[in-house]
Amino acid sequence: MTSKQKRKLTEFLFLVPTLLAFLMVIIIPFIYGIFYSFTDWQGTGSFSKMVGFDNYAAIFNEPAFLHSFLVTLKFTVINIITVNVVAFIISLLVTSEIRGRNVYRAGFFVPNLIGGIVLGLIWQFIFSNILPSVGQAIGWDLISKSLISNKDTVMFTMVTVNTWQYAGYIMLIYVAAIQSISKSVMEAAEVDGAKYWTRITKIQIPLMANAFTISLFLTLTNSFKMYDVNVALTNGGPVGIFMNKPVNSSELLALNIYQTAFKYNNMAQGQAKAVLFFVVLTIFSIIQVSYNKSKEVEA
Amino acid sequence: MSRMTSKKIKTVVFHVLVAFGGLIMIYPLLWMALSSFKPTDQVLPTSGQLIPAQWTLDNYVNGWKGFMGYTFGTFFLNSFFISFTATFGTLVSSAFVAFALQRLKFKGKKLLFTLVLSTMMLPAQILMIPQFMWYRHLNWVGTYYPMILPYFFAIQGFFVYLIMNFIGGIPKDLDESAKIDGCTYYGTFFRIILPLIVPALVTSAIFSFIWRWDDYLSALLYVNRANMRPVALALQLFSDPSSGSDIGSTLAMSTLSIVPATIIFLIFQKSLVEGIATTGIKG
Repeated sequence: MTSKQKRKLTEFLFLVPTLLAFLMVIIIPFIYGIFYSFTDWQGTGSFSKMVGFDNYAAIFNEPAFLHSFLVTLKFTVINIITVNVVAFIISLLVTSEIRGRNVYRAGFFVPNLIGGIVLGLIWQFIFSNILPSVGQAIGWDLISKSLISNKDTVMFTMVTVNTWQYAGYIMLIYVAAIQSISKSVMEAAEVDGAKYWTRITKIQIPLMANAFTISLFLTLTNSFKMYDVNVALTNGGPVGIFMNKPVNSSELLALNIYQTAFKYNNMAQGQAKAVLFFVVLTIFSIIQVSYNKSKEVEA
Repeated sequence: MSRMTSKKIKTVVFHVLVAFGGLIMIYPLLWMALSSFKPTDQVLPTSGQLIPAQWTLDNYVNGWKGFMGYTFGTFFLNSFFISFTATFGTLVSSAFVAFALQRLKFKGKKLLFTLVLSTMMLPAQILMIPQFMWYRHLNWVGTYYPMILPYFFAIQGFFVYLIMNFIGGIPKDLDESAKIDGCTYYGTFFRIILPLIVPALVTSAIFSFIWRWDDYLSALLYVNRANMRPVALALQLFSDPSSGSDIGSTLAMSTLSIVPATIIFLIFQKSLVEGIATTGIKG
């Protein structure tokens, strides 16, 4: 074997198993999934015929899906704002000259270690038991009943839990960005008389635009994909009315897709929803990232 | 002097604010952990009170008994097994691929890199149904294969990317001189690169372990026998009152379930934080 062949073989061994698996686990299912969304496949055996866009037409006539789509959009928008605002504020706090800032950083990050199921359980107790008992004690009607079983406030509970879980993670990205801004820039601004607020809005924020791009992207996809907290905290409830049909008022898309496919065994339709979900998420991500990129400045 | 005092007051106010924020973040966890030591019938009536008036380990004893004939010992072992093997697989394969993508020259490298990265943003939902069908076709449903084997093939772009960044920071001269000294690609990888990327591997290992540990959806899809349930799935079923559990033991088992991640985090806090910071930023 010549050395060139040997090298080719090495490269082959480094990459081919991975490429194969990559094909098997990701690419093939991806293509299969798109294909099946155009069939009448029910999940068992093979499909009997192609149905074109019927599955897609059907899901657009399904109040539960449309509702879940809107709820997911609403959740995503609110969540992106709250997670990033909270994370940014915390990151300012823990990068200041405060003693014990590493402890705080760790503390803020801890909720992120915990699985969605446990998170959902704890917060369910908080919203359904602790807050109502506090509410009854101080006579505040709004929180005297479980915020989860009220369809007007259930969104708030999901946003709270997700923000609580995810802000610490995003915080770390902002912290790294803040620390990468050279101290002399900030000091120069201070010497020139720039107030704290001005220093943040005119210097720090523009200089960390890259971190905002990443963080907004991560929050966007994370909110869109939300599943386990949804299951453990609200499980879709309580019942609401949409287009004159009863719907689960807090059922996010991921849960809706799961139910369609695995509870009602309608695989093809579930997959059509997933494909649509993917397309929308991709479009949103591209718009968001290119918008943010256009705002970035060279540091 | 007065300027000093006002600065001092500011510092104090600031500290109080941050500490208060920190308390809010940590309160739900403290509440869970401390309530798990209350007698189960006291959890709800005294839910506003953080410290138990009466300490007990009953919830741990009762909760550990589990349900449907299996103790939480089984569920914990399952979770450890899945998390360890999947993490091992993802580390080894991601390191290989990261090295290839960073240092080897081959056709289609750019395409492969784009593919790997794109898996980072591909939502699990779009692959959930076809993957399920695919694994069912392979007779993998009801086994741990779907939750372990794929990870042996670098399917997590996040880790490939993290390790690639790290290898990118190692001077190329180092591999060049190893090559001149007669090292093969494997030699270079194992003797030169691998020891240098340990920090990136540690970070990846922690993330992978915690993510596998918390993974609920794949357990829900692929595990159908009670004795094979990992903790996340078991807890979710356990928390349902129809399993015969009570609030106290649910809280006790939930508290136990976060112990491994918490310990890992406390030990490796620094590299974890650095890992997120660098991968997040270099996007």
